[in-house]
Amino acid sequence: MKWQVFKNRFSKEARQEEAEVDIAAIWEAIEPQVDALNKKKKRKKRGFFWLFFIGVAAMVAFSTYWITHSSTDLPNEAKSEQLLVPSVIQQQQQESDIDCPPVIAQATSTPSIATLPTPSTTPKSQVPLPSLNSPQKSTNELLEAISPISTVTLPSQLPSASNSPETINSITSATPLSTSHLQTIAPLPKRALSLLVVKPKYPAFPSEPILETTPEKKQPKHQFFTEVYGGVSAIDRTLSAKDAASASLLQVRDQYETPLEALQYGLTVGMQHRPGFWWSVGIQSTTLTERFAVNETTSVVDSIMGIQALRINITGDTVPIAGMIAQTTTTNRDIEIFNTYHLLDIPLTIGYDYQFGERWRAGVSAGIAANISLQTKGSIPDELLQLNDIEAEQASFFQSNLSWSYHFGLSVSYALTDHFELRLAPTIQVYTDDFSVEGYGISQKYTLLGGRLGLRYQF
Amino acid sequence: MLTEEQIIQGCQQGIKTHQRELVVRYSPLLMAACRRYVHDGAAAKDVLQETFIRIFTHIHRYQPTGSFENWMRRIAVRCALTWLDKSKIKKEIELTEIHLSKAVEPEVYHYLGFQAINTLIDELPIGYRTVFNLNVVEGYTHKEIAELLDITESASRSQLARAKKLLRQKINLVDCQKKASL
Repeated sequence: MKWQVFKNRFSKEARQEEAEVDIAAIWEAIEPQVDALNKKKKRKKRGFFWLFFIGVAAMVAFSTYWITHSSTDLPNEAKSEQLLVPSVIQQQQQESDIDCPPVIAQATSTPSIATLPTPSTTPKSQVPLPSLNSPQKSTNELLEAISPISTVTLPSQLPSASNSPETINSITSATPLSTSHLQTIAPLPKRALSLLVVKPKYPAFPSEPILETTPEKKQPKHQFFTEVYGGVSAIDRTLSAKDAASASLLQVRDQYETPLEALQYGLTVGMQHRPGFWWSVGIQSTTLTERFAVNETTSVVDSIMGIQALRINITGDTVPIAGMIAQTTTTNRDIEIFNTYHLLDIPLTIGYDYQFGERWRAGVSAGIAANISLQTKGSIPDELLQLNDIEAEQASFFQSNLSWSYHFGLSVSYALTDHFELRLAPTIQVYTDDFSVEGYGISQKYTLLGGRLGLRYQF
Repeated sequence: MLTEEQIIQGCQQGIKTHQRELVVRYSPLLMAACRRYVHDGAAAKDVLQETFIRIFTHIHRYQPTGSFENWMRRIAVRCALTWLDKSKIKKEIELTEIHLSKAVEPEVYHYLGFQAINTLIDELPIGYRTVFNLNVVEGYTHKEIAELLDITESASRSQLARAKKLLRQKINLVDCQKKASL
């Protein structure tokens, strides 16, 4: 026989060889190390999910920064009003005070000025602008000051006598904020003029105001909020056997376990858009509680050697007659254990709120939640009603985390103050994933139906 | 009953029932592998325990392209070699290397069955036996054996040749005894 042939044959047989080994002893010896290893893996996995959470938080922070810095129309506008309008006033004031020759020259030499309407000499048009004399006036004061002028009615033709210095002086002082006059009087920065929305005033005597002022206060497009909430839900648990062999286990668990309630609390941050849409992201803790209870009496009848009878003979002695007698052993088991499933979720929710009345709002919401942790505590039975510790042996029965759940609900909220709002929200949350691991014979799923009460702070 | 794939996935997820199933299913096979290198029963048990710990530690690296048994067997062999006193093997190999003539082709293996040959292999000196098992049973090349045992490739070759020669002598002896008894 050639070496290679021998080698192949011997190798094949050697690799199939099995040796006797005390498997229970081997497992017992390595079990603590395996547990430690599993815990280490679990910690690593949790670390990954915390990274996910940090990622979500970073996204929220970034979007917050981005939105805050991109929706600053109002502050910039206000700023430009404060900075630029006083300069207009100053410029006008100087021109009117010193009766600036170039202004007069421009007003008289420009052909268009001949067709420009001149202010009437009604008392209204001659109302002085005392507030404009101070360049330090605030925007609101300025707007108040110019508002009477916006209703000034102007003649269509400039009278020939308007060339007199008094008339021109009257024009410049009485109609300082009419766009055409501003353009005529002095070349102002466009940004300053953009603050004043001017409607065409031709033909003469328009009925609507000449000037429209910027609204005093604009509602922001977005508003941020944070909310703390808590709630209680009823549990709808669905147990099903994954294979035929687990049918008896299913029967035992169905018989001896009762779902109780779920308690939830959480913290969210989000953003409310002006039309009523909002979104939020946060962290939520959910604790599902179940009761395992056994109260049963079992009797076992056995045969043991004992005294069957006592016989008294004629001498008066008592003679025991030995033999097999029945022995009944009665065992009463009364066990009650409360099992808990503690979940940590990151919910992402979108919703719409409809305002009715001054303080009330009603809304709908829906969303998904990423489950980052599932921890179990308590005991569940096997087919023979022997208890398994689901905290120490969680990896054998339950997942350490699920993937997703979804939720939807309604809400009614009441504004306590400008910033605080109380929300009551009936909610359904459905955990679509099986809580149990693949190797365990029972599939375990939950749906929670309950209500939440929350306090929302808007800023 | 769990399939091999389910056991692997369960172990990768750290499911204890799957890990226990792996120990139950593969202990006899891996124990035989360990005993091939470590004759002492208690020591072989220690090596087997260490093998399982390493398997559970590194199972996430296992790629299903190759045989799972082979992958575990290689871990078992490495654990066994770690347990062995390599310096002793190396010293023995260096002493015997100078007496090497040439490789011997065994021609009488078919006279005996697997168990008998296995027993004869167990009687070989530790250096011969280790190299023989690594090359013939596990399929390691001489280069790999040299790296595993920290010896030269030529030393590995010579050890195998001497193991084969010694094995042939033993087989012949057994064969003669067998014929004489008939």
